Amino acid sequence: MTIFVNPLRETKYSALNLTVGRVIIGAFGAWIVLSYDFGALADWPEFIMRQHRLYGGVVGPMAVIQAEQWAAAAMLLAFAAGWQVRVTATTAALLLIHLGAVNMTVSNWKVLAFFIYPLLIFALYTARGDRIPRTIRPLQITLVMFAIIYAITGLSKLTRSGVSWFGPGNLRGTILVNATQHLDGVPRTTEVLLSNDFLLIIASVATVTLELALIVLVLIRAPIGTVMVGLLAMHVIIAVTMGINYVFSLGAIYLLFVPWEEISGQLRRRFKKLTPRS
Amino acid sequence: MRDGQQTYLLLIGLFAIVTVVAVALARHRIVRRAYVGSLLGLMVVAGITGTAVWPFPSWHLFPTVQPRMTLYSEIRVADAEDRELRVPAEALAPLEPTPVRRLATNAFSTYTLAKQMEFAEFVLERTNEYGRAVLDERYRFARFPAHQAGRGWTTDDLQELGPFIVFRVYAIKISLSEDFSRIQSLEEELIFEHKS
Repeated sequence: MTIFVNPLRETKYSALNLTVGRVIIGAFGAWIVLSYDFGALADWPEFIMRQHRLYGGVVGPMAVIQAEQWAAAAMLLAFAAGWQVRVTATTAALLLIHLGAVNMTVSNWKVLAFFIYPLLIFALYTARGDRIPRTIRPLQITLVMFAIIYAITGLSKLTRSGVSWFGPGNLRGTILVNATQHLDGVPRTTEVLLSNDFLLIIASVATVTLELALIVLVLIRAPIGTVMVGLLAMHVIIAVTMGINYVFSLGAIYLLFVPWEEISGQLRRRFKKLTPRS
Repeated sequence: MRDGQQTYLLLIGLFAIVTVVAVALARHRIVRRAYVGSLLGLMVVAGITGTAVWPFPSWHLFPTVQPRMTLYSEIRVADAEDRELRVPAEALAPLEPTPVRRLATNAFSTYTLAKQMEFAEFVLERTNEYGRAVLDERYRFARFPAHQAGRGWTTDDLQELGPFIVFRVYAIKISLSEDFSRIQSLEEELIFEHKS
């Protein structure tokens, strides 16, 4: 049994996997939106908001931002609970898009997109009055979307830098600068990696290979477990060495592809064995 | 409003309307297919052209080779006895470290002096408030881990520090050695100071 399955390969419908997926998106989405101090924007000097307003018109009066944040969290929790899924998922997605646009005026929190896409897909595939979709399709589409994101990330390195991206100097310089900016200097554990050209080249090649491999494996319906674990390891290493953390935001999405049905089946069997027969 | 903003407003409004209509008519297979196809298409176009139009970021992450020299701005505050501390991004929530650096750079290259001073006063007020919150340990609830790390203040940092009254912006220059094997120099230059 692998930790992550490709729903384009294992196409068997699983109500449990879809339910767990819904709860994860709703719960993590609510957590992320509540952790974020949107209300503080109301006190920012007006001219700063104006100066940096990339998406000007959509911002609207700052007084409603806080209310919008609570509404988004409420919608996400209702979605997690399976209440009016079509309505709550659509509303939550649109609110997150607006909050994200507001945020983009001053900051760069594009990770909200990770929650917006699955919400839109769940809204589209859940019938009126249902709590979950009646097909495994939403999980398939969500995985394709995330594979596209990785593929673009990998491809952009090749098209914009080419071979020079893989030289040990690039990764070493990137780590040195980011660690200085985000971690107050290079942690001692990182120095093992920095002092070894061979490891740096391997890490660079592995990064682009993993990023490009996922979409291929997904589309040819091959197992994705190894590549997903590799990508997760990449995120952990980036977080530790550079202080840029995709582990939790993308980690939530990874959880959608854990074979919950199979795990619960195995647990049930094991539990039965342990229970003494009367 | 600039033209680009109006276009964006129009596009995002259209996106919201199309989404609501698509969900309402989602029982038809063709609607689902067209909507999903468009989403995937927009993601691919944003990625290939490198043009980010929210909610479709370009996802070009670290696409270019690290240059030898990195320039950025850093905001610090000091108390009456000139004990200085770097302002962490969490004091300026909801900003993250990169936008804080960008804001500091923009503020002191494009703002008028009056606006720079207003900005400085705002940061001082925010920072003092944040310092009080750290001392009260009000920041301990389970926040979603920040996307960009950045060490916040601890009660230890704030031992014996008075309220902050000086606002400073430094230009920082990180130079890597020729073979990119270490940081050759980390220079800082004071570019703006404001005492309240």
